[in-house]
Amino acid sequence: MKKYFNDNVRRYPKQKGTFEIFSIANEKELVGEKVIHMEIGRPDFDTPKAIKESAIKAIEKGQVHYTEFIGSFDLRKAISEREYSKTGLSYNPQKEIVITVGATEGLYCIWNVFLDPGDEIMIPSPYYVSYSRQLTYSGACIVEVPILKNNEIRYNMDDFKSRLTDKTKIILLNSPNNPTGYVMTDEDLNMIAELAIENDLLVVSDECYDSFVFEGTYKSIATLPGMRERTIVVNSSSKTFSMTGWRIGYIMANEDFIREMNRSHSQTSVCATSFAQAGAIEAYKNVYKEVDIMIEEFKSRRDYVANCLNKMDNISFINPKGAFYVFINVGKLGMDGTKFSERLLREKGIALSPGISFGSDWMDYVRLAYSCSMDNIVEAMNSMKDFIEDNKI
Amino acid sequence: MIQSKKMGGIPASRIRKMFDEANLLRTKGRDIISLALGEPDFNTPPHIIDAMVDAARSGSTHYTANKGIVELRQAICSKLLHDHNIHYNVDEIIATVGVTEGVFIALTSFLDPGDEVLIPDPTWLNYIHVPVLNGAIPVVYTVSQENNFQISIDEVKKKITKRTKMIVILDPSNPTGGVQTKETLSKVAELALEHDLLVLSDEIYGEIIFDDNIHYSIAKFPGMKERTVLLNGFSKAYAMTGWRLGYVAASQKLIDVMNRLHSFNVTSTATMVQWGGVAALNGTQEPMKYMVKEFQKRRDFLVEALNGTKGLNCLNPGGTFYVFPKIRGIGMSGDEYANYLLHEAGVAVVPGSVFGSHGTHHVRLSCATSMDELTKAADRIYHATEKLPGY
Repeated sequence: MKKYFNDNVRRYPKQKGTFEIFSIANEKELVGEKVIHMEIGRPDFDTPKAIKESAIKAIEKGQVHYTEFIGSFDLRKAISEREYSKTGLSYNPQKEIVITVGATEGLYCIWNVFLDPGDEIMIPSPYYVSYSRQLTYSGACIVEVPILKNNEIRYNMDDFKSRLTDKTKIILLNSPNNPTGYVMTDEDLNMIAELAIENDLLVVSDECYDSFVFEGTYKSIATLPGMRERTIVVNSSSKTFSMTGWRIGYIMANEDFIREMNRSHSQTSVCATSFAQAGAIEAYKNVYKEVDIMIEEFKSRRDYVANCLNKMDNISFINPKGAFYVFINVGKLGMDGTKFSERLLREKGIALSPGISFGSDWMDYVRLAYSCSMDNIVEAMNSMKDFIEDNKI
Repeated sequence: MIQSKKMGGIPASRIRKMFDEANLLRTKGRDIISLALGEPDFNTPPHIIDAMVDAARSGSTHYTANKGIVELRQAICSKLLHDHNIHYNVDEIIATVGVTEGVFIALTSFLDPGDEVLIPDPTWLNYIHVPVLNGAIPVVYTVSQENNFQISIDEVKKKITKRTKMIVILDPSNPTGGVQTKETLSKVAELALEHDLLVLSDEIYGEIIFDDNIHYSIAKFPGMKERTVLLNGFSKAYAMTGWRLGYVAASQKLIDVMNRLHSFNVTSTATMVQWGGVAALNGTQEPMKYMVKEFQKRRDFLVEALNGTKGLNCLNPGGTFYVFPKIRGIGMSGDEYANYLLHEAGVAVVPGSVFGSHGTHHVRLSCATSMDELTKAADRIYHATEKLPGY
């Protein structure tokens, strides 16, 4: 047989990352061993009942056919109104929003429409692993801009400017951030806006964790002067409403951009599930209280985890201000993040993500997701403490 | 221009344009019957809906494994074994966001820039667009009414080059309604083996089969499972278009790479939707059989009516819910005729040229509407066409 797979597949990185840890975790569970999953970010809350019942009402009424490819108008309208009340940004539900199969497909459509092979995209690093995998397929080059130094995150204009080339086309932001939990400050946002406008760059703003801000309020870069027309906002119902399995996300941008992205979307999926869209309408229109309760719960988990980690020797971490992740430096224990993750899983049954999954500079780090139950978090923190003490150098 | 060059290669949808124009006429008060739709007019059978409702209420609301829940993949394996006697194991199946996503990941996983992929003409348009997005070259082979909508093996043979990597077959075909015979498929299989080609077999209409036609899957021929990517789904057979559920079946080596792309592309398909799929395959097949019978009745009616209309000549399609008449006798192209029918008769049909150059003298009519509407539409088509001077 000839070589069937294409070049993109062959270029795909092979190092041990989250996926391998997940596989080992599955193997352990198959033989009956307990694993606490802190390697994947999936809220443990069920979808609020009102959302489920709206979807059920829709399917029982016969909403089983395609919606408009761009998504049901009522959902686009509900999203537009929620966005306006949150950020003051107004997007025309007719022409400036596409409903996608989760934010994942939304991002995929963006790369498809805006990136040609050889184009460069700047990503503040550490960053979410799935971006690089999608981008590998688009043939674009990722330019990582390290923003984590001495356990502190800093957006430094020079770090970005020195990496600009005539091929740079997009800056990708993700705030609150996966994996660090960092929330960009006004200063950070202003700096990126200045850079984007000066150099005529697009900004893709992945705002999937915008509800998960523990101090202050969330600010989108699209609200800054001159930025709305060059920003593509990506978001999803997955984390906000605990709806990961419904696969509903969306993209917002100006009309010209949306038209093209909708064309790409119709090639990859046609439309999102019709009755899942009906559930999401209820979510964006009426579900507030459950979200508040969930955020409070995440905040107390964050406090607990940060407090425990503070008491552990030989590790350091960035105090998270949002999302539900902590990025921890374990380098002082004499093993890299991959080794640490693999041993912690095999010896204590706790699964974390190796830092290498979040950019090439983060060998010494691991990411911990505190989206599992409080009981599991308590148990995991105790086991981790023991493991770290046993492995002191 | 900020748009990527590859998207520049994808034209705007002309079917969409047709819809827009029909809607515009409707807003002006015209009564338009649409025979342009590509989805069943039936509701999803109730036991499938119940399964979704149970799943949502009981908390099946989070991500599944990328490939989908094991129960669904197991049901798909049983179906493929039962229908075609092909053995797949659960690791060789991915649940996708409709066949559309299956087409996307299958082509994107295997095509490099410059690779050639053989595509039927006429075809479903994503088979042209997705290769273009990947920088690959779609090379068309003819599927004509004169040849009973069978794949022209001689032509395929001539078009195979060193760069040919894959051949796409639509069986049964949208838009022609043609079903490939066992003999045709065995010849395609022979060519694939001889020239070491992958086969993408789109079988989304595989359950909507009429008369004594049989839908074979090319994957069952000796040596073919290893090189076939089989696509099917729930949209057409179970009236589940809006659910967005399809599947890819292929040998382990091929499936794993597609699964990577699938997981980066959409993560997984909606969870409660997958449980609906389990009920569809494991539950009663009577509603599906009923829908197929209805489609057959409508096809019988429409084919007879069209063949009784001056200048139209229509084969009896072996499957799907489309009818694809040739319009040689009226002195118009398919585009002109579709436009004429919309404005003169108030009937929306799709010009065949949308599906490729060999569709130029055809239009596609869909039977996915009630018998009443179909009767009215056929009558209007008859009278409007009679008015034409002909050649």
